[in-house]
Amino acid sequence: MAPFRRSAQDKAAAALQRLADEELMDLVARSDAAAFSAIYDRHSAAAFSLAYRMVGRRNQAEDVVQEAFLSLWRAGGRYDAKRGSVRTWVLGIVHNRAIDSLRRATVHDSRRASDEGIEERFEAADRTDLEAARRTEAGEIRAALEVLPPDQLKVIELAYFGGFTHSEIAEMLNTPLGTVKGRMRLGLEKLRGVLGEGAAEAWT
Amino acid sequence: MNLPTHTDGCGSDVAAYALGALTEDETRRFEEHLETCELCRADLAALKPVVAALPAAAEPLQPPPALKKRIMSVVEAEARERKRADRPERGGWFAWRPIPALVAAAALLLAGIGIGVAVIGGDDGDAATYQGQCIRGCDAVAMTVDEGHGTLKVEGMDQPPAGRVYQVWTQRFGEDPRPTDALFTVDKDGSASVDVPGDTGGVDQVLVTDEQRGGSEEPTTAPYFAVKMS
Repeated sequence: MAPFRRSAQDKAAAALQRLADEELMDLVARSDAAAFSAIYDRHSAAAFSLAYRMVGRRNQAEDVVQEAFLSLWRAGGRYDAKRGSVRTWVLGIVHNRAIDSLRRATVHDSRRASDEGIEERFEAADRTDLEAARRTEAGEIRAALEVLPPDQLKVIELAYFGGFTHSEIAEMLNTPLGTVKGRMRLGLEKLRGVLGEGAAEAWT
Repeated sequence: MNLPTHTDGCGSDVAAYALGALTEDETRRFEEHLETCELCRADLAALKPVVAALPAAAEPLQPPPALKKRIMSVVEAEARERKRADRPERGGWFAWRPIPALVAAAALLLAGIGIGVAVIGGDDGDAATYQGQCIRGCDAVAMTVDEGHGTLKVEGMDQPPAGRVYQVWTQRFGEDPRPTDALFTVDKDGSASVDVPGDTGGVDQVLVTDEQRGGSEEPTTAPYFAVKMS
């Protein structure tokens, strides 16, 4: 009985593996736990990597991923393929949850109190990014980020990965708010140029 | 292609918004602005793919297998719950037809596990209150009997399935449940107070099922709750 059941399960899992993300999301919207499991398998590594890069602590990153995937499960019916890929949607949820988690944490600890701490976090992250560069997509985006002037790179990293608001960044860097906003914009426009419109489309 | 320029300065927040670098209040205000500003919408559409590419810069890591186990245990439990909740619309719990015997069996089962016979304040005049047992779709139920007249009070009960009403049944020991013309729905808080017609003397327990509008002669769904009075 057990071997039979296993092989039936394997067949069902293999059938799900062949479905596109969008088709799996249709099933998730109908409360299909196996389809959700397949979505998790495809995107959890990217989700966990982003969460860990943002919050910097394993447990907290796991909580973020758990919250994000459960909210995806509960909101499965709200996924709209016209507005982007499932991957982008998942990572968007993870990003928002990680920001929430970071901003909540601020109330309890002094994460933002020291600029040195922040520098350390980002340097550590940069070193390990050598591994990311082995993968094509990671390599491309890293290469594109390296083209940015350091002051533009810094505001983008502090905002996107650090979860800081533009006013916090202005204060932190002792730079006028307008300048910070300008650097964000110039940096993103420059990245867009480097990645190329076609390349950037591939991420959505 | 160059991004559009904003003469009134409204575009200065687009990049910060795309990066998630606005506060909650600022985000809300900017989203309101987006509704009316085509320029900002176009701007945002151009920057979004760039931001969507950023996560790939994070060091690739594998989440621990225990995390998937934790998440799947919640997901699987909720999937079962949702399937259960869907079932009444497809023709009733267990999809069983009449079979009052099943209601009786459910009642026996309840009696067997010792449920439902708490008498509260029975000495206060002639009124007695019996706590019932919710089987599905409700939080609490009690029946007050005053001089043979029964009133059911339910709390936290779901609305009946579309096009259906709740019907009260009375059951005497060893007999099939008898229909009453007490039909009801619940208010938006899930509460209801229902008069149970007829003398409750000799009634062993009161049950509620969902039925077609106008009620049924025999129960067609399994009971939501039972209040035992003996």
